[in-house]
This record gives sequence, structure tokens and C-alpha cells, in this order.
Amino acid sequence: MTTRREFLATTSAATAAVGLGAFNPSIAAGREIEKAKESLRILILGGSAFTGPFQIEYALQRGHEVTIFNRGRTEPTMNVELFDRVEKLVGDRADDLESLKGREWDAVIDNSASIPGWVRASAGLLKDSAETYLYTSSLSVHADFSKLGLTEDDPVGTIDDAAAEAVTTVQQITGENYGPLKARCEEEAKMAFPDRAIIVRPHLIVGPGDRSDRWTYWPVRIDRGGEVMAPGTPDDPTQYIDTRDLARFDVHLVETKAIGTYSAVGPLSRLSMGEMLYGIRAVVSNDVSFTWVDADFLAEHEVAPWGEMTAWLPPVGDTAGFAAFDNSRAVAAGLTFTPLAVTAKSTLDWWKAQPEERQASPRAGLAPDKETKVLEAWHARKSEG
Amino acid sequence: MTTSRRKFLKQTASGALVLGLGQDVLAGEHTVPRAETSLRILILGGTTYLGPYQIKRALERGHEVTIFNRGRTVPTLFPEVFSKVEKLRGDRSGDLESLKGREWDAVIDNSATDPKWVRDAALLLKDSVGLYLFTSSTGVYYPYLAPAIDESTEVVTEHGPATGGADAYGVNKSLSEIEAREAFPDRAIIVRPHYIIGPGDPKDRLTYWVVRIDVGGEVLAPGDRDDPVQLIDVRDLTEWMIRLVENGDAGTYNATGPGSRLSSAEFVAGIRAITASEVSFTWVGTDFLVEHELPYMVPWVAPRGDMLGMSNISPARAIAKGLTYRPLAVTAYDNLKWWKEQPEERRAPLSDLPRQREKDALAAWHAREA
Repeated sequence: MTTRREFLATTSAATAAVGLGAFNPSIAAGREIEKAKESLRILILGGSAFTGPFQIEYALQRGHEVTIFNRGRTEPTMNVELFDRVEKLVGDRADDLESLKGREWDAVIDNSASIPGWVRASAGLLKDSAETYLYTSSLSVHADFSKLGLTEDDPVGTIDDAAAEAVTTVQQITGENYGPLKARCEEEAKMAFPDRAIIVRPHLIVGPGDRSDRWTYWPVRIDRGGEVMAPGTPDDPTQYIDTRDLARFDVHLVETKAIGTYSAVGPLSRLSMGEMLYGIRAVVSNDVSFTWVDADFLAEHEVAPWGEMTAWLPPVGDTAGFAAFDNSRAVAAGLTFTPLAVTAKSTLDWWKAQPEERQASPRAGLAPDKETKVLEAWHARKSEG
Repeated sequence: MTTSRRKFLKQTASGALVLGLGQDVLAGEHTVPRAETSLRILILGGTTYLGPYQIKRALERGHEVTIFNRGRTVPTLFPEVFSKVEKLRGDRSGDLESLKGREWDAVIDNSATDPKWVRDAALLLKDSVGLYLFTSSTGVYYPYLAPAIDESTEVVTEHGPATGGADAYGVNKSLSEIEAREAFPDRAIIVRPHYIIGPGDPKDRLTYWVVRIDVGGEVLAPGDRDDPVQLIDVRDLTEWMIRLVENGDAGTYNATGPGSRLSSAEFVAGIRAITASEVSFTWVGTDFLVEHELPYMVPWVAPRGDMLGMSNISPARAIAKGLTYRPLAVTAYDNLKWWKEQPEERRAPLSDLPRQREKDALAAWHAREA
């Protein structure tokens, strides 16, 4: 008969294998990706942080040539080996575009600017030497999130000229001016590339390699098991976009020269917080239960929507429409979606492969002791009736 | 457009389609280490569903396998493993000749719903076999009158007049358990699985849900979102059965899953998570479903009356003896993948989703709501 130890080794190996296939966040994940008909020369401004490595991956798979432009300071941590296959230009968005001069590209993908002056400078420099300019904006540009079903045609936030021009460093960007500055950046891109600019406004970008740890909080928390505090009601809506879906969409838009503005929002159809958390639960086999704590109680106990209860904002008042964006234009243009379970699993696998120190201090989400305290208070209040 | 829309859709949509992108992340190859001791295992039955998985697992663990059956069912699951097992012919009802004069470390009895079959086989084998694993069923608790059930809950051993014969299956299973224990005192392993699901399921239970949700659109979700559901992945079940045999863990066990309570809402959302389809769930109340003769949408069963505790059967004892669980998304994903690989004839029963019955029920539900 087998010893207990051997038994444990056997079963935990089996469980681990079942749960955790080899970590592979790649877009292809073993699939053949067909080459594009036409090979494009693509310049990526930025490119080493979150979505960049996946843009590079997909662009190379499609047979394009990729150049990246950045300060050379951020060490890529995803798809590292692919960086040997791209041309690297060094410079600075703020004041050194020298290396971009005298070159030609079919398309520019600008991931790295929230300062209108930066976009003006790069788009102005490249307008005669590149055909299309894809600017990665943000849904934060919207002036008003109270409306359900916001589209690309709804008004954006504004900032006056002087205030916009006064922002010259990333340190000056705040929660207040971020959206209006992004809207200005869109305008700069469109001015330099009239009828040749593509504007992509992603929702919360999630997936392996996310440096914000926001959405990552949920798979990690649920994987820890036990009683999980869930915000609001299970019916509250949520939206996000998997970084790999975004990357593929960006490259596709460039290939198809699909000029226009797009809300890059997933999933395809309405997803409730309940469905999202339960869907994430489906990738683990721990003991898990969810306790839904209402928005008012969370507010009373200073639990922050978005920052601590991530990917969630109370669907009322000023934020009523924040998770109810209309994505039909992007879907018609070719945006497709990775299944939630795949996003959750690959995010979790990526997280577990991070160094211990990194895992020990997440940058978002609710701290475990605070969760315990708030849950205790919630149960106490419930039992008082 | 440089790429045609159709071509792009083919390329990326098939990527986003579960089977492309999911594969690497959700499914995982795993190597099974060999057991310390190689056992000789006899499987009664063993060609349809549980058997092929048991055989595959037992062989991977380095055991020798003999199967006993009428030789009439052609295996469709893992047909390749059948060339690696010894085959004995006979019949549970009356011809056990080929089992005589042989020795095994354990017998696994999958194929008995008649207590006499168990009595005959168990009496014949009691001196030549170490352990008798009998595949019973949580049906032994029917009617499920207790709101929460564990192995100490009394099982039904006599047909009750009130149930109109619905208890026949459970009574036969519980009487069969008694036969196994009597012939193999302290050497019987009784496993009571709940709904067995996963790739290869001949009953299309979970398959209905994974296909239905993958098809998308408005999906009828049954009952109260909080109603519990239970099921057991055929691989979790069979791997654990081999483990019980290896460890000699005699006893009676509920084999239900998952390890902690799963609600109907968690179940359907977990399946939704493996698809990228456009899906919305409409929750239709239990009273309405009962009125419209849809009291079962397995694994959901209206938790009332004779079925009250049916989905609240504790697996704690089994977990303590090594039962483990695949994540729901893995089970669902593998099930869908398997289904899509089946020939068209096999897929015919679910080729018409959503069914008219579902559409009618949803229409009636909306009409009533309005």
C-alpha cells in the first residue's frame, strides 16, 4: 500500500498539474496565427510595459516588422525574448525624438503619452513619414459617467489651454486632469493625422503583467479561499479588457486601417460582478464563499471602490455608467474576447510566478486584516437585525 | 481593409473561441507517478464511462487490470487502453465461471443495480480478493428528506409505498452495499457518487450546460440563485477510487463535489467563464419550473419535498481520504472540448439548442412578469 507521504505527493502533483498547466500567457497559446497579407513596419512608442509586449508578440506573429521607441529604462518582464527581434530606438517623449527622424513606418502605435505636448511633438514629427497613428487613449476621457451605454460620440472632458500646456511632466498628472489631458492628446493625434488617426479607449486593462494589481486582486483573493468580501450586489455590472485582446485589436486596427475612435471594452455582453467573481472561482478548487456587502456599508467603513474593491464602482449617480459602456463599434471593427476563465487563470499563474516581495505588497485591493474587520462588522450588524 | 473581415473573424474569433485560447491555460498535461506496489485489480463492467477512466488511471499507476463483462459493449472512451488489460467473459446474472480460481488485490464493481449480482460476485470472490469497491450512489438516500446529508444519514432499504417506485434505484443500491459489506466485512469500500459528469458522459448532463451556454443568447437559469448544486468530475472520482484501493481505505463515502458549497449562480457563471459568447441568464423561479414540469435541470434539482437535501450531501469524509477536485472551469472546458470532437451523430441530441421547451418557458416567464 502507498504511504501517506507518497499519496500526498501523488495527489498534490495531480492537482497542481490540473490546475496549473505550464504558465503561458501568450496570445497564440499554441495556436497557429496566420500571417497578414501585407507586412507592415510598425513603430511602437513605449512598448516595454503592459500591453506593449503583447502588441509586439502579435505583430511579429502576423509577420510585421516592429520598432520600439523608449528611454530604454523599463526592463520588459513579459515576452522578454521577443525584444531581441525588434529594433530599439532610444529617446525621450519629453525632449528627445532625434532617433525617429528620417525614418518611415506604416503605422505608429502610441502607448505612452498622457501629455498633449508629447503627442503633438511625436505626431507632428511623424505625420509625413508614417501612414496611420494609433493613439492609446482611455475611457477616462468621458465628461460624464452617469449615463448608461456611453459611446464614442459622447462628450469628453475639457481642460483649458493654459492648464493643458502647463502639464509637461507625468508628475503633474492627477485623477482630475488625466481624462481631459487624454482627450487633448486624442485631438493632437487627429490634428497631425487627419483621417489617418485611430483612437483606442480601453477600459480597465487586465491580465498577466498588469502592474496596477487592480483586477489581479480578485483571482489572487479567491485563490486564497475562505470568506471573500464582495462589493455591492451580485447584479452590479463590471467591465474590463484583457491586455491580449487589446493588443490584438490594436494590431488589427492598424492592419485594416480602421480609422476612427473605439471603446475597447469587454466582455462581449453584460457581465455582473457576481458572474465575474463566480467565473473566477471556477478556475480554483479551494473552499470559497462570497459575502456581498452593500455599497453604503462599504462607504461607512471606508472601503474604497475601485482601489480596494477593484473593478467595481457603485452603479449609481456619477458612476452609474462606468461599467455600462457600449462596445459595439469596437466589436464591429474586430475586437474579440478571451474567456474570463482564461484571463483569470493566466493572471493568477503570472502572479504566482512573481517574486515573493512583489506578491507581499500588492498595489491595489483590500488588505486581509481590513477585510476581516469589515466582514465582522457586517455580520454583527446583520445579526443585530 | 487589408485583411477581409471574414478571414479576420475566422482567425481571431477562433482564437477567442474557447478551444483555441483556453487550451494552454486551462488544461494541463500531467504525469502520474507510479504506485509503490503494483496491484492486480479486477473491474466488473468497465467499458462505458467510469471503467475506461479507472483502467487508464490504474495502468498509469502501474497496476495490472482484468475486466469482466459480457463483451458486448464496444468501448468508445480510451479504446487504446483495452489492449493492455486482461478480458474475462461472463455475465453478472448467472455466469461467473471465468472468475473462479483466480486472485486479485481488489475488485471494483461498477455494474450492479441488482443486489443479487453483488451477492453472487462478492461471495465468489471473498477469499480470493482483498478489497471490494462497490460503486453505489447518493440515490441510497432517496427520498432526500433531510436538509443536510452525510454518511450517518439513514439510507432507504425498503421500497416505500409513497414514492411510486421512484426509490427502486436507491433501494437496490443500498441493498447491494449491504451484500458487499457482508461478504467483505472491514474490506468493503462503498463509494456513493452524485451526478457524474465530465468528458465522455453518456448522459449529456454537464454537456447540456456547456453547450447551451456556449451557444449563448438568453439562457434559462433555474431556481433560486442560491440553490446548491452538486456534481463530481468523472476523473476526480475514478482517480480517487484507485487511490482508495491503493490505500486500503475501507469504509463508506459520499463522492460529491465541489469541496465547498456551489450555488446555482456560481455554477452557471463558472461555465460562462469558459466561453466568450454573448450570454445572459434569466432566473426562473422554482414554483414556475415545477408548474412547467421542469423540476430538474441537472445538476439543479428543485430543493423541496423528496429532493430537499439532494444537493447538500457532505463530501467531508471523502475529502479526508484524499478526494480532490478539478476546478469547475477545467471540467467544463474539457467537457466542451470533448463534445466538439464527437462525431455529428453523437452530438445530435444537443444540436437544437436552445430547445423549444426552454424558449416556451422563457416566453411564459416573461409574459407572467409583464
